[in-house]
Amino acid sequence: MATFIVAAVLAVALFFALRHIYRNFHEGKSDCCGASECSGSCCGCHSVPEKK
Amino acid sequence: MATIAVALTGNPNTGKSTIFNELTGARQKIGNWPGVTVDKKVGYARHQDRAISIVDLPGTYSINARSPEEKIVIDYLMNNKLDLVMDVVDSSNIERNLFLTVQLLEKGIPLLIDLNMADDAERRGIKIDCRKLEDALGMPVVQTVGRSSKSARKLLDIFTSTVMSNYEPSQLVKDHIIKVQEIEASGKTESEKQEEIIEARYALIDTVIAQAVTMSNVGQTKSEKIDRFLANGVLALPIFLAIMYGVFMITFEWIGQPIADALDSLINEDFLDFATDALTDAGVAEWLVSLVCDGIIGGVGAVLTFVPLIFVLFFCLSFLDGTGYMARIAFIMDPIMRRCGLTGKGIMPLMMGFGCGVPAIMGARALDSEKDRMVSILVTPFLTCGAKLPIMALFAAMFFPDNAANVVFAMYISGVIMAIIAAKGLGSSIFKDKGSTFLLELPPYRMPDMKSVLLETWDKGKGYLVKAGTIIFAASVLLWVLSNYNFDGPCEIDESILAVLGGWMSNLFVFHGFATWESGAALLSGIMAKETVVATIGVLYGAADVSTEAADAVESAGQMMQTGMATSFTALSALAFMVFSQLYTPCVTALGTIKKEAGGWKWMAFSAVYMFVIAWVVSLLVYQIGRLLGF
Repeated sequence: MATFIVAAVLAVALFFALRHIYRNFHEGKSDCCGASECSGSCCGCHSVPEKK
Repeated sequence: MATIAVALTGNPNTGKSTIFNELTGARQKIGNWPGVTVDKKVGYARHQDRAISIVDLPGTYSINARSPEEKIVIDYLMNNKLDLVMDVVDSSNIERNLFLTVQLLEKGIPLLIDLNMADDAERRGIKIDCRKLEDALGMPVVQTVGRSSKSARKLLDIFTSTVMSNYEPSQLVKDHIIKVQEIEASGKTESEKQEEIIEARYALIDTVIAQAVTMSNVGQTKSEKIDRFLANGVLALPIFLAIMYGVFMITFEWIGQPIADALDSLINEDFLDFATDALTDAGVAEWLVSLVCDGIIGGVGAVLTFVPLIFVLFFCLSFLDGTGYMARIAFIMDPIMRRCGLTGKGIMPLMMGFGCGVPAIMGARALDSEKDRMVSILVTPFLTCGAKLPIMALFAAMFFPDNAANVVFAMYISGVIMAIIAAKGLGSSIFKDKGSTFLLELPPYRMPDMKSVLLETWDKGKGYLVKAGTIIFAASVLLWVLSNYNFDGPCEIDESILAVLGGWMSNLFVFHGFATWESGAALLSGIMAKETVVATIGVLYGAADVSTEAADAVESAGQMMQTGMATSFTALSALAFMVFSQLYTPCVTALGTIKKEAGGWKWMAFSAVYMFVIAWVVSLLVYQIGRLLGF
């Protein structure tokens, strides 16, 4: 049972990690711009236009 | 009621971003690099029950649409319905700043002229009569002091008023516009027209200045006095090296490293033991305990231990940026950097590369031209980052015990030489047609705003944390699977998929003297993170507890000499292996950063392949020439 729970948690974490990586690469979004306050369109941590 | 649309424009370094922050509370980088804001920033404010949207446009010196910043500004101002455009003018540089103001008025854009840094101007003996300036230009003028809530309230009052409807260009400006139109309609060549128009603009500025500005000589400013010492032709370089030495000592010795060591101990000893015991006691299967503890905590933990270094380094650099010293560094280093195909600003990212390639690649954002930024991003990984040091230290101690320090130093030098050659090569080939400009304004020295420094440090550092939880997490799981399984199921590491892949990879090094599957697997795992090269070698050669700390290299070398590694390498093949490790494909985190910073898969793939090819060729030359010389 413990194995199942830990494996399930890891699987979910891995899914979200891979989805995050895929979205970043696909949308050209920076990790530093992932915060909600800049909605991926702008942020204070880059000084170049994001290439969409 | 409809939202009031306001746009902020002006020269770089006029305190526009500070005003934007004061008005909106939005987070934005505030630095002393001229041209820090290239993308469009939008913020919102509420005042007197009116909603106000404020756009912070990139700082530009003109609107000739030659640079991306100029294009953004003119496109935005001409193609959007705006209620108010505020031109932020640095009062202490009013003459130069009015050039943009005049250009905007020529385009028929009504402006609210904000004379910012009024206090600085006063200290420099510059007195501006707002009423006379209003009369001369026919536009409303307001005086502000950047970081002041009083100034912000004053501006918000104006935004919500109907003040702009009371103004129209003065006769002086109208006459100038007619003159410019006449020049444009004349049959002269384009360059002649441009020359005449610029002359007409300066004639108008001279007239306006004569009417509204009085200047008294107050001698040297505080910044000029400091510059006499810090930017002095003789002392500048030694002072710069001393300051950078201080930054590196703070980061890698005094503050960052002790915290990193404590975090390392916490994660890789305390937490690892706790997790192992907890999972085992809970009855979790052995393979899953191994995946969580050896794979994930080991992999992600290794990266997390760098977080204190990253944050401390970024804090120091943001602080220096805020003081205005960074602009001086670029100025001091420009002649030297130009010989390498870059401009002065390229020095900072490259220096960071000796610590870690990831912040160094990210640091290239500060560079103005695309050419400089791309070249810097693509050559930085050649440098010896902290993660490569254990490889160099271990091999040098094992195979060159009498000259270990010299060999390690030679590896550092080889990285620098390769970066210079690559910078020159890329600058004169792929990026040949892209202009490299170096327009540098030396901002006044000032005490940085700590809130901005901390925000900037957090903004830069948090991306590293996000990566640790995503890319490194996923990569750790993959590496664990590859090193513990083959196609028949669980197996020993020498029968694993990693061993098979290492065997394939080793075929590439038949002429390099290190064609063993262990070397291949170690180099392959090094693409995940360079630190893992030594750890993988240790595991594969049967000394699993070998330290990956550079400081323990001699002890580790002693352990490794008892294993098969001593017979797998000769001194020459070890040197070839070190050269290859120094120069080959960056780690996945660096590759991800290159992808992000350079703007696509293409550059990431290019970086991975070209560095591998260069490493392969140079390593081959080292081995084969060494053999010819009888080593």
